[in-house]
Amino acid sequence: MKTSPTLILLCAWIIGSLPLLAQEGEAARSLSLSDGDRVVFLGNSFFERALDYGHLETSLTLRWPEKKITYRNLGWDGDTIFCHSRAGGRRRQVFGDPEEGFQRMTEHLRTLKPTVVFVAYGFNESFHGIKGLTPFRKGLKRLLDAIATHSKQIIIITPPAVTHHDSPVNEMLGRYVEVLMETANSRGLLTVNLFDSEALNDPVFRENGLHLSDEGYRKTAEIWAQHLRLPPLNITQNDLRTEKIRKAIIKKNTLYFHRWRPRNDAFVYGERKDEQIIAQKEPAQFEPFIEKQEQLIRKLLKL
Amino acid sequence: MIRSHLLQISLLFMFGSQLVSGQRSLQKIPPPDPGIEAASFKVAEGFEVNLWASDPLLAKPTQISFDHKGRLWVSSSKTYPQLNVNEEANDQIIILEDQDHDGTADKSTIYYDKLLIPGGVLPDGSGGAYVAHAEELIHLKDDNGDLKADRKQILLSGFGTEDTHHTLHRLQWGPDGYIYMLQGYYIGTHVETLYGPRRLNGGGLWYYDTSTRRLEIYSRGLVNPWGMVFDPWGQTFQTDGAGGEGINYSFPDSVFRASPHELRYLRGLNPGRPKLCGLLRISGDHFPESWQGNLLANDFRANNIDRYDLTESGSGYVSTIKEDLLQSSHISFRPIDLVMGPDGAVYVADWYSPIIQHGEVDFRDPRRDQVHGRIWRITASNRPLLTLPDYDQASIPGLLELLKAKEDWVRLNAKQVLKTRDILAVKEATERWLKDLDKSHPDYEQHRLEALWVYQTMSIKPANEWLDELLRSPDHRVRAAATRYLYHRRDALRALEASVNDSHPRVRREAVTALGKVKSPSAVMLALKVLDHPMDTYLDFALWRTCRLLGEDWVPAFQKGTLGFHDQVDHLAFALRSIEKPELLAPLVKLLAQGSGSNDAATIQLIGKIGSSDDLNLLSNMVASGTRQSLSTELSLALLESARDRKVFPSGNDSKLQACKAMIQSDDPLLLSRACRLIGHWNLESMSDMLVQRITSSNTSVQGAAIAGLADLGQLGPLKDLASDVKESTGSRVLACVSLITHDPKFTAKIASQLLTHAMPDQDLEQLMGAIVSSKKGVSLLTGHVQKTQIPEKNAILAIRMVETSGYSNSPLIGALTKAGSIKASTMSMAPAQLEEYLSRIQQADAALGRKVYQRPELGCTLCHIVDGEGGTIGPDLSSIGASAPIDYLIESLLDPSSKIKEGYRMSVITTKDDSVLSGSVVQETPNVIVVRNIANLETRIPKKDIATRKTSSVSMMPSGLVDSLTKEEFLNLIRYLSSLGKTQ
Repeated sequence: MKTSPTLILLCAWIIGSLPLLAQEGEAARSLSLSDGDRVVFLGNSFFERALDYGHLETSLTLRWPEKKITYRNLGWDGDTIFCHSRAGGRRRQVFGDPEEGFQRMTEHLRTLKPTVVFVAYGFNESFHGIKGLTPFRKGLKRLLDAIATHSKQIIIITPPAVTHHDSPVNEMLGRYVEVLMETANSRGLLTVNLFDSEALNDPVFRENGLHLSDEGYRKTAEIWAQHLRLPPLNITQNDLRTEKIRKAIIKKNTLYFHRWRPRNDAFVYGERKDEQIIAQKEPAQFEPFIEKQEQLIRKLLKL
Repeated sequence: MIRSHLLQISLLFMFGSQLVSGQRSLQKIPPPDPGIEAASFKVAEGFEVNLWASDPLLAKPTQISFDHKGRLWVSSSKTYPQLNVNEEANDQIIILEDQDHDGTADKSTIYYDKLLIPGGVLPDGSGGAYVAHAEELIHLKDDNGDLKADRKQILLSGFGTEDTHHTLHRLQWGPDGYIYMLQGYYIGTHVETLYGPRRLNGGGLWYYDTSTRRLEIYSRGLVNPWGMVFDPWGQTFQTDGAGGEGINYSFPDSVFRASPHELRYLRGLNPGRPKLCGLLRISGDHFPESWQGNLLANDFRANNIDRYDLTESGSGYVSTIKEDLLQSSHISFRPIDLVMGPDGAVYVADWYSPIIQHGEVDFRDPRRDQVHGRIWRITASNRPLLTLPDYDQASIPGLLELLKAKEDWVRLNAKQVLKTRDILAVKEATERWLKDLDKSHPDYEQHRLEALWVYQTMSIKPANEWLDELLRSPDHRVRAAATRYLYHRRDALRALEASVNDSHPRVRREAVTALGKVKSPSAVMLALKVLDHPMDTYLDFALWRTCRLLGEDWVPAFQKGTLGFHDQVDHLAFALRSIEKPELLAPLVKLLAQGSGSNDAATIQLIGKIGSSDDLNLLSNMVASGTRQSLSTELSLALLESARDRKVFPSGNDSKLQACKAMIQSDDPLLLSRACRLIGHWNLESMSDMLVQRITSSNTSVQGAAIAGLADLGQLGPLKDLASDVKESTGSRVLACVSLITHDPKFTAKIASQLLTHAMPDQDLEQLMGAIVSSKKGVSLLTGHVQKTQIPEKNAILAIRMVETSGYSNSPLIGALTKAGSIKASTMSMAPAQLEEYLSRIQQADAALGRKVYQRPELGCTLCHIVDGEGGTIGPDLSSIGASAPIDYLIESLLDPSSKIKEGYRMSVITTKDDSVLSGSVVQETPNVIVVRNIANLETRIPKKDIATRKTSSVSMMPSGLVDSLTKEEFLNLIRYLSSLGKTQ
């Protein structure tokens, strides 16, 4: 009997997928977004730099075109699970105290009422070495507990490996990724392990051997789709239209960036706020423009 | 009456600012004609100034930077200070060219236009540029040579943006090939790099290696550094746009004012100078010999360009103020940056705006100029201009020859262009060039140093033998620079051994600094050898810093006993003191006890700060036995500070008693006062007689200490007698009240109300009211008494001021004092409509008469403000207020001080656990104690453990209604005087 090559491939695919199916069951392994979901991206430069390119959010948006889902990116360069980057220069006495940043972050989550939170941390923490592992594990638990009070679903994204040729950081970074994966598994969270994904090692995907490039984020969106078993793209391949949607998403995110992280924070919220009057009212004035931009995105999705 | 309309005026400022400001601006702001501006320039003799470029060729420059083709790159921000709602970032990089070489720009090209408040631009030597904007350092690349950026790459992101003129700015190449860049105080930076996250809270100078992508902090602090320059030997100098110490000499790991959580700062070289923006070093033959090596910096608030002359001194420098290069009376001339051009002239970027920056004026104030900008060019009359080398056509040896140029910028350009050539070819050519150098040339050593920097710029490792030669150069400046190279190597322990013992202090300082990067206990041991040579401020700082930076490396080894200091006790003592940790105090205490320590005064001071009861016992024993008389000042201070700030006392009761007995016999009033305070703090009741004898001492500090000591002992009887004794002087009675207020507010309020009925010196009244307002009970009890009395008007006015500005602006005591003092309504009036009239009349007012108004004692201006070095320090220094503050700001500040409070002068209101209230400005804060200076200029130290609540008040410490008693003319004259301060005319 002649065996069809298609059948062989199909069998191979089924066998290859078996361990996954056996472990968790398909439903538990896939991410599904519903009407009214509010997705928040929380992390370090991985998410802050994603703002410039929009691929991750565009990919998610295109997969549920008919649903009303909103996205808010709270990435902050150099941030940690302890919120080192979020303390800011707001009060001199506590310049840089991460506790204040952590409080501010959780308050922010309370306002945003997320239903799904993507969490991308671990790179900056890894420079604390072996002795930083225990605090990292504890801090991660605190962070996830805090997020869990607001959001029903959390997805852990591990940092991609560093590809700069003479950087020694991957060994230690791997230890931190282990903590991330162990914690995620023990809590039954979805994960995307970028650290183990060799797909991102091509220099074209990297800006500096560390951060992702435009192409790198595009590739990462594909990896997410595989790992999270996202539904296929419903929109017929139309680059121009997808590009339009992506640009609209980038603009929405820029507006939101100025809403939640206005320049001149010292004058808007901090120690110098008494020197200005109008500045404090302006961040809220971005809201209608953000909403308008979200309407535009939905309109584009329906075209 | 001014005050009756105050509310109306403030509301007008709040809601009607656009209308009012707009009208005013028509009258006040000069037309933007560059000719008018040029006519205002007074340039030093022998120089002339011409307009090189003006709007619309450019607008709002933040940095200017020439490339190797002689084109001027300008970062430009029309968006500053704040992006409008829903506005897209569209700030630009502009390239200006003088194509026909007539001394003015004739071509302007927009290179890139998607930036958000760029603070700096730096061309890269091959048609691209590095740009600081938003929270990023980016690189822009022009692929086809059309002067339009085609590609953008983010190199670094995460620079703070909390204050948009503190964000990353002022990029420049170091002679070592790194990019140096600055940030200001109000921001926190968090950048992810391959080498780990880099965080900097507050101001500082960064450096970035474009090839390894390493980002590091060079120096920390300064409030808002906006100028930085290298000398030809790689030493760095900075200016501070919000500090007043002129030129600041910096080096790696140095720390300056305002760096958060740092224990120690270096000072600038010219304390008392105006805020400066930009910094340039004169080189090249177009400028006369006497100007060579001088620094130019912009006094942007007073519209001047200042000049400084540097001379070497020890491991540091002395900076002398010379005649200004340029002065202007044009209020919109805002020199923000200045550079040397390819022709050897000085090019000045003029931000052009009557409004200087952020704080004092609203972001959306229509008087902010958002369209203009100029480049002025200053040339020496009748001296030939320089010609631009053709770097692109030059061969590698040709480029190396340019490293002999006198012009600092030519050497920098040559290295950047070399970087675009083949690395192996450059390496070989440099080796040949070095061999062929003329050894008898006076600058031979400097030429060799430039070769080292070529290597560093291109990340080529130099041969050890050759590096050793530079480290042994006969020129100490070259030795210092070679030692700096070792700093960047981070592992050169062996090579630094000779440098630590160098004959020149600057080389020794560089070595100590470089050792701070070698993570090993031996590095500290080696660095400490510098103590065997003469020390100075910078050396001491550098060694202290290195000991601290390497604390994690050597302290555990020391504690395990594997780090032997042998008999070098001064080395050990210095290292231990630098850490300032109680667990490292024991060996120091032992050295002090044995009498074998060095610099015992410093150890004693540290024990006062962090020592235990047992450590303090050693100090009190030393006082008691009188064995170390020469140290009695330090010993008594350490004992007092530990008791006062930390409530830690010597463990032995007899030791305390004997120490006080010894001190109280002293003829020195200082020691005597301290003994009196210690008797109180230590609760030595048996010595209370000693205090009673002295509560009427003719020496007020001894008297005050004795009174305070008795109060601490709870012996209030003699104090009450003193306070009630009408035969005693008011001063003595007030002193008694000051100490009694916390123990018996009822009694004190009664006495205070009696004292208030008689004329008394201002100082006594302020002290008395200062005591009353420190107690909520005291305030309410005094209200009751005052309601039943009459007091002199002057007393009432002063007392009201004290109450108002101490956190009780709504207290009934104010009404009671107004009535008791029969304070009449003031004679002056000002309706909102008259504001315009006042503004139009300001220019005719008389500043000299205004000065007399300012100096009137009853206004009290001089009590709190400094002008030209004279006056109190509670409020901001007004020496150059006219140069920085618009007139409407001055008027508003006088009428309603709380509407505009200068940052850093906000009143803190602190409540202690025993319910005392202290208000004033925080003048010092340490881990243990906070020092508050109140309106009466009295400093109070509050141990932090005693603080219950701490908040900042929105009420100014400056009393409102100060100008109520002035006539219209006097008020105008006063404003005129204030607006003239800091201006040249």
